[in-house]
Amino acid sequence: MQVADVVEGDIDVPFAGQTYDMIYCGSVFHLLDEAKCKKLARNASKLLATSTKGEQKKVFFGKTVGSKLDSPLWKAEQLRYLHTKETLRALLEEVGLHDVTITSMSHPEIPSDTTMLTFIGYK
Amino acid sequence: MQDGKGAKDYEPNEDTIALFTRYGGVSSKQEIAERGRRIREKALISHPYRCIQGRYLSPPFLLTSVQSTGSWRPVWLIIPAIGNSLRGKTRRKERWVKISTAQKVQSGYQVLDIGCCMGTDARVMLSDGFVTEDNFTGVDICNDFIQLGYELFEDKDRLHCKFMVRNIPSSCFPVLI
Repeated sequence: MQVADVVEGDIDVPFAGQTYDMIYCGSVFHLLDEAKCKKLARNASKLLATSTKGEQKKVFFGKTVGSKLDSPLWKAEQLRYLHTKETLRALLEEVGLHDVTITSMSHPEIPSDTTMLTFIGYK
Repeated sequence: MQDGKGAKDYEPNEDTIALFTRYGGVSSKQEIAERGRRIREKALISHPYRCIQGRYLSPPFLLTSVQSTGSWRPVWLIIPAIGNSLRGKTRRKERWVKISTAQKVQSGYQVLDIGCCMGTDARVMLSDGFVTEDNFTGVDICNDFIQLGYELFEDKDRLHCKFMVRNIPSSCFPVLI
């Protein structure tokens, strides 16, 4: 099974300077290895506008398959790194998001050692 | 990958049928299933990804994820007054519809969908009025997926929101299509 390579490089020219008030990222993190997960989070944070006082909060949210175990899962044959709730929270905070909330949800179509994580963080 | 099983047995769920009904004017379960099978077969030829095949019966590209996996939470939290008025009173999907309707007033709000694939969630947000064509941008690495989305929903001539092909993100400018 191939996986989509959706993250590469740094964001020197972030969409011609465009930033966004809300970024949705559904089912992408679980396609990536650990390094690319970091790049995706970092670059999504760069694409997210910074809210000023009185403005609506800018939000990054979405879902990903995650590890149900105490530690992340590395699916080496697929080059997929599956975060736990805790490591995903740490990653989003590391890239500058705050008030991060991660929720674990059951899902009937994913392996038993995994869980569906929904996430939300603000900037 | 469970080759063959998903494509043969696929039946759209109620959320997918609802999306096709209100957005695409198609309510026939059989027709939606046929479109899903056809598009999946095309996509798998060059892109044998799990997100296209699915593990069991449902091709993920046809699931209305933004609506069904708790993604109402951001708007709930951004507009607490609306959230509080609905809290505990309605089911999640009903909350999504009500909140997304309220969110229409936020003009100029720019929304980016990273990894939009065939744009199913884009159509959910558009048809729910959560975004407009002017304030939504979908990005995916694969132009084929975006084009197959137009074929899936038969809306190439009427959908005018921005989709970009992008290896998210690289150092060069995106291709606008």
